[in-house]
Amino acid sequence: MNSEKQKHDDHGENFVQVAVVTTSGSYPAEGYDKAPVNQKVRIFLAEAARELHIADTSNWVARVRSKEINPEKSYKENGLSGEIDIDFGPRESGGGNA
Amino acid sequence: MHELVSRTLFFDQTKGIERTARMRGWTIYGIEYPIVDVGFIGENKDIRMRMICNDWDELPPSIEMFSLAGERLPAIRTDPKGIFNNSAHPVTGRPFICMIGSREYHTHTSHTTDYWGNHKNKPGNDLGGILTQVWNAWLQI
Repeated sequence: MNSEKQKHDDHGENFVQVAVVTTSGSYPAEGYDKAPVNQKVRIFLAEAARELHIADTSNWVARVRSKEINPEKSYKENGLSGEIDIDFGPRESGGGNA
Repeated sequence: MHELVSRTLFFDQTKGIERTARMRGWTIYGIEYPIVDVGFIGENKDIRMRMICNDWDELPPSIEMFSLAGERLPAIRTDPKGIFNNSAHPVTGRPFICMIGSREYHTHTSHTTDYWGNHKNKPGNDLGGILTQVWNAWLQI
């Protein structure tokens, strides 16, 4: 890798700064962690769930600035860049019909 | 349920609400055992949700609905799933949250066999999770 590309990868727009926020706590607890902009969002969500001891997030929804994002897509594909706070929480469960 | 245990669980499960509230545009009126009192702000659907969490987590929270000014709502707008239920609850006589995790759901005659004990330890059914689920239903109104 040439030095220009190395510099670009380490400090440039190939990364995003990510935090996952839930009502049970945030990951990381303070600030942001770095993630590759082309990495699927679900990878960081899974890491956050593990660290926050959330056993199952299969029915959870992820939003950024009130807009639902697709965890199966990358940050770039979701139109995300820079510092990203992901609001992560459970969808409404069963009920109704009373 | 021993009150000290209930208080400890309440504290643990509500400490993250403040940061999520900022992101979601909620207004926090108060979070102090046994009450979580927050407002959801939206066009023609502002609502204040008050979760009464005494005996948590042996019992799910009772969820009461008010105007932002604190007046009890005699009627509410409903969502497609019927979680915001405008009919008179058989115990309270008021509109109620008809969703697993709401005390009014589990005490409703239609759901008394759907025991809270079968749900309470599942992810998303902690206090912040229940409030988040109610908010997600409210977004559908």
